[in-house]
Amino acid sequence: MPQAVVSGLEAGVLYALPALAFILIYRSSDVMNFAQGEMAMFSTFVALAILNRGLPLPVAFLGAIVFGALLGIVTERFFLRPIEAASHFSKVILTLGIAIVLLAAAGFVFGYDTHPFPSAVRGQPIRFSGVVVTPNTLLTLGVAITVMVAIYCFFKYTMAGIAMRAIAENATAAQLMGVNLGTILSLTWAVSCVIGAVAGLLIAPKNFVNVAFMFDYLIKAFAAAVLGGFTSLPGVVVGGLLVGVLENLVGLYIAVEWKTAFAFSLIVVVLAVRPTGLMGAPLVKKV
Amino acid sequence: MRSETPETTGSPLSHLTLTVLLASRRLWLGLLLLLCLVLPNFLSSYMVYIMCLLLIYSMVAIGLNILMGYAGQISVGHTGFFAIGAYTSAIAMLSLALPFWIALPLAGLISGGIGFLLGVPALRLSGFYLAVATLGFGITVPLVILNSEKVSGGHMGLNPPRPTLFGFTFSTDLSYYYLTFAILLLLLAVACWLLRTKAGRAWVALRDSETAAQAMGINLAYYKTLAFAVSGFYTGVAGSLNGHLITSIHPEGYTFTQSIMFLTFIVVGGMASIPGSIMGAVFLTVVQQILSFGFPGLESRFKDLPAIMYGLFLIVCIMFLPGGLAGIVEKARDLIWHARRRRARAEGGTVIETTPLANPEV
Repeated sequence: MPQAVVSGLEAGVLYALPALAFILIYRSSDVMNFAQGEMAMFSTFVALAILNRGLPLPVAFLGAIVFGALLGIVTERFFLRPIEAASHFSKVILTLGIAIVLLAAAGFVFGYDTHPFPSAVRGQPIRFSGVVVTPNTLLTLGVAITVMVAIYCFFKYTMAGIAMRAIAENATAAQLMGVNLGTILSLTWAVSCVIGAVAGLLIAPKNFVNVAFMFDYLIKAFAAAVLGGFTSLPGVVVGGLLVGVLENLVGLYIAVEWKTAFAFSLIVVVLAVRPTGLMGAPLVKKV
Repeated sequence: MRSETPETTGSPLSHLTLTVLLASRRLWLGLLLLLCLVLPNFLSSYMVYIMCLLLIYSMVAIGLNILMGYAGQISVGHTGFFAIGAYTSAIAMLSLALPFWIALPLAGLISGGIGFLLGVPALRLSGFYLAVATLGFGITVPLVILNSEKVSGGHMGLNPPRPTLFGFTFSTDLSYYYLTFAILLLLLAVACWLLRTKAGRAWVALRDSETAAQAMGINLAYYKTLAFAVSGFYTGVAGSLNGHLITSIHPEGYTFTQSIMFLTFIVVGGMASIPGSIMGAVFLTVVQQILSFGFPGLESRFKDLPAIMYGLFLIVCIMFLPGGLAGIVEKARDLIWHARRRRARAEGGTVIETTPLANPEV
C-alpha cells in the first residue's frame, strides 16, 4: 500500500505536468490543445535523435526544449491565430488535426519502433521502511516540483507571467493596458509546450519511447485537469497527484486492466457531480 | 429538401423546360438514385464491398452530423457506438439466436440507449469537456469489450454471419449492398423528417445559443440527450451492418483513428448538411482507396497514411473551407444562379426575383 502511494505520486506529477500545460493555454486563449501529447512526443523524439548523434544528454534535453518552444510558437502563430474568430468547436477540431498529423509525421520520420531512453541518473534503489524508491523517481519528483515552483514564480513575479494572467482575466482590458496579445499568446504556447516536453523527457526513461507513449499520460492529464478544475493551477497539481494515487490503488485492489478505464470513469463522474472540479471557479456563462 | 424552379419568361419554351428540368432537384436525385441502383451490377465484388462501406459510413456521417452539425455537441468517440452496434447484433445473432431483423434494430436501440446515457454528462459539459468525455468513451468501449471475454470473445473477436431475411441470405456483396442501400434510404428519410420536426429546430436553436433556446422554452436536457441517442442509434445501426459485412469483428478494429475518420467525414462534407455528410463519407473513402491502390508502395512504407490524410483534411477544411464540400456546392450554385440572372437581364428578359434560399440547414 505505501509502495502504491509512492508510485502513485510519481505517476501523479507526470500527469500534473501535462495537465498544467493544458490549462496554461486554456486559461489564456480558451483553446484546448489536443495536440499537447503529440507535441511532447515529438520533442522527446528530437532528444532521442540528438542522443543518437552521440551528443550528451543535457544537449539532447536542451534541444528538445527549444524544439518544443518553437513548435508551440508556430502552432499558435500560423494555425490558431488565423482562425481566432472561429468557434471553440473549430479550434478543438483544428488541434485534433494537428495532433494526428504530428503523430503520423513522427511515425514517418522516426519510425514505429520502440526505443529505450537513457535515464539521467543511475544507482541502487533506496529502501525506506519497506518502500523502494529508485533514483529516477527522486529525479522525476525533483524536476517536476522545480518546474511547478518555476511556473508559480513566473506567474507571480515576472512581467510576462502577470501579462498572461491579465489576458486570462480579461483580454480586452489587458490589451488596453499595453499588453501585446499576440506576443503573450505565442509565449504561452511556447511555455506550455516546454512543460509538455519536460514531461515527455521525464516519462521517457520510465517507459520506452514510441510514437504513442504519451497517449496514456495525456488521458490521465485530462482527468487531472478536470478533477482539479480547469482554471486553478494548484488544483491541477492536486488533481494529478490524486489521479496517480487513486489509479495505483485501483490497480492494487481491483485489477490492473481497469486503470485506464478508471481515469475515464473519474472524468465522467467528476464532470457529472462537480463540473468545476475540486478547486475550479464556478462557471459563469456569458450571454 | 427544397425544390426551386426559377421561372423565366420571355425565353423559348424548350429553353424554359430545360432550365426547369435542370434546376429541379428531383431530377438530379432521381438520376443519382438510379445510378446507385444500377452501377453496382457492373462492378467487381471488391468495388461493391467498397460501395457498401460508403453507404455504412454515410449512415455514421449522418448520425454524427445530427449531433455535431445540428445540435452542436462535439463527439470524438463515435467508434464506441460503432463497436457497440457491431457487438450487440453479433451477440444477439450468435449467442441469443435472434433473427437479423430483430438484431439490427436492437443494435441501434442499445447504442442509442448508451448514447442517451453519454448525453447525461453532456448536459453539464460543453466544448472541449465534452470532447474529452467522448474521447474517453471511444477508448473505453473497446477496452470493456476486450475485457469481457465471456460475451465478446476478447481478442478472438466474433464472427457475425451475413443476415437472412424471409429465408433469403444476403451472402453476396451485391445483395448485401441493396439491403444496406434500403436501410440508408430509410435512415436518410427519417433524418430529413426529424430535422424538420420540433426536435430538429430545437437542436439548431440550442446549438446557436443555449441561453436563447432555453428562454424560448426549449428543454435543453431533453433535446441534448435526444441528439446523443439519435446519433448513437444511427452509428449503432451502421456498426451492426459493418459487422455483418466484414463478418469478423475485433475490439482492436475500433480505434481513435476511426473516430477521427468519422469526424473528418462531416468536417470535409460540411457541418449541418445531410448531403454534405454523404459527400464527405464518399469523398474520403474514395480518396483513401485511390491512395492505397494508386500508390501501393506508399501505405506499406507509411502505415499512418489514412490518419495523416484525415489530419490534413481537418486542418485545411477548418482553416480555409469552413463550409466543407457542401459549402462549395452551395457557392457554385449561387454563382450559377447569379450568372444566369445577369445573362437574362442582358438579354432583356424579365426575371422573377427568386433568391436562392440561403438555407444551410437542410
